[in-house]
Order: sequence, then C-alpha cells, then structure tokens
Amino acid sequence: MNKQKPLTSLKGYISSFFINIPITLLSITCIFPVVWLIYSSLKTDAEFTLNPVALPVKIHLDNYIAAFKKANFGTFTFNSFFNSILSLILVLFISFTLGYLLSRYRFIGRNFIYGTLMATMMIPIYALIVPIFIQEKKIGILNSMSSLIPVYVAMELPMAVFLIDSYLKGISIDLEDAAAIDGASLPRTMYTIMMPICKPILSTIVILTFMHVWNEFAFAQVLVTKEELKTIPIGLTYFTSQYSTSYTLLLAALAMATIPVLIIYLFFYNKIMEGMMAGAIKG
Amino acid sequence: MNTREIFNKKQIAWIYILVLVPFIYFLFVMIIPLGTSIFYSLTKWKGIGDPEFVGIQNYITLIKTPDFWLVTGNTLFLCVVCTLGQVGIALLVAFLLTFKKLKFKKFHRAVIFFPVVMAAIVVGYVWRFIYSSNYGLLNSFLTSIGKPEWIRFWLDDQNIVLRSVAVPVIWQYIGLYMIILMSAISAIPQEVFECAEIDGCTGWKKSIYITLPMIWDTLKICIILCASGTMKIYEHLVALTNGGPGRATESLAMYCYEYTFKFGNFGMGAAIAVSILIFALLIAGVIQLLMGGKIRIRRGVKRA
Repeated sequence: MNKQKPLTSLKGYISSFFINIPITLLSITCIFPVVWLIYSSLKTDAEFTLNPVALPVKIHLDNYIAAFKKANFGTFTFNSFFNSILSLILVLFISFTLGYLLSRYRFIGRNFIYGTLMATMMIPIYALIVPIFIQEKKIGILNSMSSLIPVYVAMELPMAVFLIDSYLKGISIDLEDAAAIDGASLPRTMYTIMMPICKPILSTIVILTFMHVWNEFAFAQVLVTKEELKTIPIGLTYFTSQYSTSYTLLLAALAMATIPVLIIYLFFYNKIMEGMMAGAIKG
Repeated sequence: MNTREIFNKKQIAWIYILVLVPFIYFLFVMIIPLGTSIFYSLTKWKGIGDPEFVGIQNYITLIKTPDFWLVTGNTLFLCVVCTLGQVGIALLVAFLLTFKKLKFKKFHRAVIFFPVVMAAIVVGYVWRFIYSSNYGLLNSFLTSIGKPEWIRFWLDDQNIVLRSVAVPVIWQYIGLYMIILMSAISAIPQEVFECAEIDGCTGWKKSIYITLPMIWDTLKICIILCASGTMKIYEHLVALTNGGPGRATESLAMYCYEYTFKFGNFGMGAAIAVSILIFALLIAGVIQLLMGGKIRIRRGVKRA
C-alpha cells in the first residue's frame, strides 16, 4: 500500500488532507449509527440511560428475547420473510418471462407493453394506495396472507424487466438457435437454457427486490391491519407506542430489522453495485 | 440487436400467452388504480355506499384549507432542502472519489451506500435516538466537545424541527445519488481526461470543466428523481416526529393517509394523492426548463 515517496511538497499533503478528511468523516457518520444501534441493543436499559454512547459492559441478549416474547416479533419476522420470499420467486419468474420475450422478439404490441412498463416507474406509488385498498376490499383479499404480495410483485416488475432486457441485449442468440434446431420448445429454451445464463442479473434482481420488499412500509401499513399479518417495519411502530417502556427493546427491534439487510449487503455488495450501475448507465 | 425470428403459429401463441397474462395482471395492479384514483378524487365518498360525483369540489375544498397549504409548504421545503443536500453532497463525494489522492475508495463507497438499503422507518427511529433531548447522541456529542450552548430540542422546537428532519433524509440517500453519478463519471471516455491532463487541467478544474458538463444529463435525472421522491416523503416523518409538533413536520403523504384512513374521507384522500402526483410532475417540468435539454428518461433507477 504505502509506496515510499520522496518528500513531497507541503501543498500536496494539505490537498490530500482536504480530500481524505471530509470523505472519512462522512463515512464515519454513515457507519457509526449502524454500529451504535447494534451494540446498544445489547445493553440493559439502566446502562443505556446512564451513557447512551458507551460500549456495553457485558453482552446482554434479553432485549432480543423480550422482543420475541412480548411484542410478537417472531410473527412479524415470519411475515416479512414470507412476503419477501414469495414476492421474490414471483418477480423472478414473471420478470424473466417478460424480459426475455420483450427483449428477444418483436411482435405487435411489444413496444406498447415495454413502454407502459417503463413509464410506471415514474408513478408515485402513494397515488395508488387508496384504489388498491378499495380493489382488494372488493375482491376480498384485504387483510390476508395475499394482500401485499401482488402489489409488491407489480411494483418490482418494471425495474426487473428493464435489467433483464438490457442484460440479454449483450448475449448472442446462437445458443437459442442451436436449441431450436435440436427441437427445444420455446418455454424449454427460456427456462432451462437461458435462465441459468442470466444468473448474474437475476441475483441482482433478487437482492434489490428483497431489500425493497423487506423495507416497504406504506402498503404494509394500509393493506394489513390484523396483528398476526403485520411485517417488521409496521411492527417497529409498536415499540414506541404499546411497549414504550424500554429504549433498548426498541433498539433490539431496529437491529433485527437491519441485520438481515446488513448480511445481504455484506455478501452481495458487488452485485448491488452492478445492478445500480447497470440501471444508471444504460437506458 | 439480438432479436430472434418468430417461426410458427405455435410460438406466437406461446409468446402472447406468456406476455399478456403478466401484463394484464400488471395493468390491474398499477395502471387501472391510477385511473380510479383520479376518478375517486372527483367524488364524495366515505368508503361505504356509492361514490357521488362532485366534480372538482374536493380540490376547491383543499385549496381553501390552510392546513393543506401548510403541509404543502413543509413538503416543498423538504423537497428543496433534500434535493440540494442529497444531490449536492453526492456530487462532491463523487468528484472526491475520482481523485487519485483519496485512500480506501472501495471502503468509502460501500459505507456511504449502506444507509440506502436500510428501511426508511429504521433510519427515522435511529435518528430519533440521535436527536433525543435527554439521552440523544447529538446532544451528548455537543456536550463532550464543550459546546453545550448549541444544544437544542431538535425535534420539539417548532422553528428548527423541519430542518432537523431533513438531515436524516439527506443522510440516507447521499449514497444512492453518489453511485448514479459515479457510474456516469465512469462512462466518460478516458481519453477526454487524458487530453485535459495534457493541457494542464487537474484536480477541481477537471471536475468542474470536464466532468460536470459530461454528466449534466445524469445530474438532471438525479435531481428529478430526488425531488419527486421527496415529494412523497412519509416513513421518515412517521418515525421521527409523526408530524408533530402540531403539524410542523407533516408532509402531503401523511396528510393523505390521515384524510383517507383516519377521517375515512376517500374522495379527499384521493384528491390529495393526485395533487402529490401533479406537484411531482410540475417539479419535474420546472427542473427540465431550468436545466435545459430534452427529456431522456433513463430508467432502472429507483429509490432503493
């Protein structure tokens, strides 16, 4: 790392100081609240009120246990995972099907469908909450296991289709032609030959979808009012009202909402960046 | 273009079935509700019985309500402050990250982006702890650096609360715009920079005279995304202040939620939702005019 340099001028040191320090400070402010959140959730309430910044004296998992016992956190977690994973599977299959066909074939209505999908990215979803609420009430899926998933899938589709489309543009059609000569049907070519090839972009979609769905708040708040169907972001609001006695309990709940995202982020950081970059550059 | 021929009728049938089924589902969930939302905004409806058509009555009532203008003012204030803060800081950071003298670039990039993937509601609660007046991190920090006179009731003082709540929002999304801008910078051909360096253009001059004009389009898109994203700000405020004190930090989205689900006035709620949409489109239009150029929507960038 450290190349031995001859004594450079003072000016060089000063400019490097002014470049490094602000960014380092920004990085610290970005990482510190997260680190603080995780270690503070391991404290007792008394310890926390005494000094909110100090490290915990002894690791203390009672808050986590209390969150599960007292506040139904287990149910919230289950619902969040259930919604996220089911939405993920559906988004993957639907967006791959749509993305593949829209990218590879030119048929009547293709441009209209693609254009509509892309235009919806600009709609603020809040304009849709009331009508979706009413629609679901009419169909009778309000307040059920399946009230959130259809909305999440539709919300994530345009982005996913766009990513798959731009990924496939860079892949030659030779393999598919070869498969066609060997007599493979279209669905077979799509799902057993091309889907594995698209694995890199599909994993980007998995991560982005998981994060959006895991963190989603507005729809989860409106479409589900039954206690046993609520997701983690909604569950968090309880810790300040119903169970407002303990700060560290809230911190533990916040940490639990963040840890899955943090783990995924640490493992798939590069994929996330790839997805963001692909979305931003091509267009 | 890598496109394939359609060979036979069987294939056409497959394609249409596989495309239309998901697309119709998509229409039902995303496009039709947008239409019905506009329709409900023109009716008087409490959620039960049939909606009664009243024309633009709801909008007139809204315009006459001072609270509506108060929350619109709050939202627009946040919109301006957050856009300037997010895109401005993100631009500076993206420039700094291109400098050779900066150490640990990958680390900085990863860390600054992390808040983007956190839930907005979590960010709100964490910052409530930071701002809290008796056990808050900010006030303890100010005491420890010997500036106790700077201590404020960050979330209870009506005069500063709107600025206080803008900080977490800015903080969370710097990373998003940083990455978008960085990807635009990395798409600039390297020769351009080499030529500039040969001509003696380095450091900040290079950023301002070479990089900035080349990423102008992306910058514009960032500003539009950020402004229209902040127009629907909701979760942060719910977690931080829940609109208080009074209505000092209430946003349009919260006002819409209140009307619809607390007062059960679906028609008014829909009218507020539609006005959010109108404001967002207006703002996008104004930015277009101010920053010039034809719109080229680059897709795929969405608030994480």
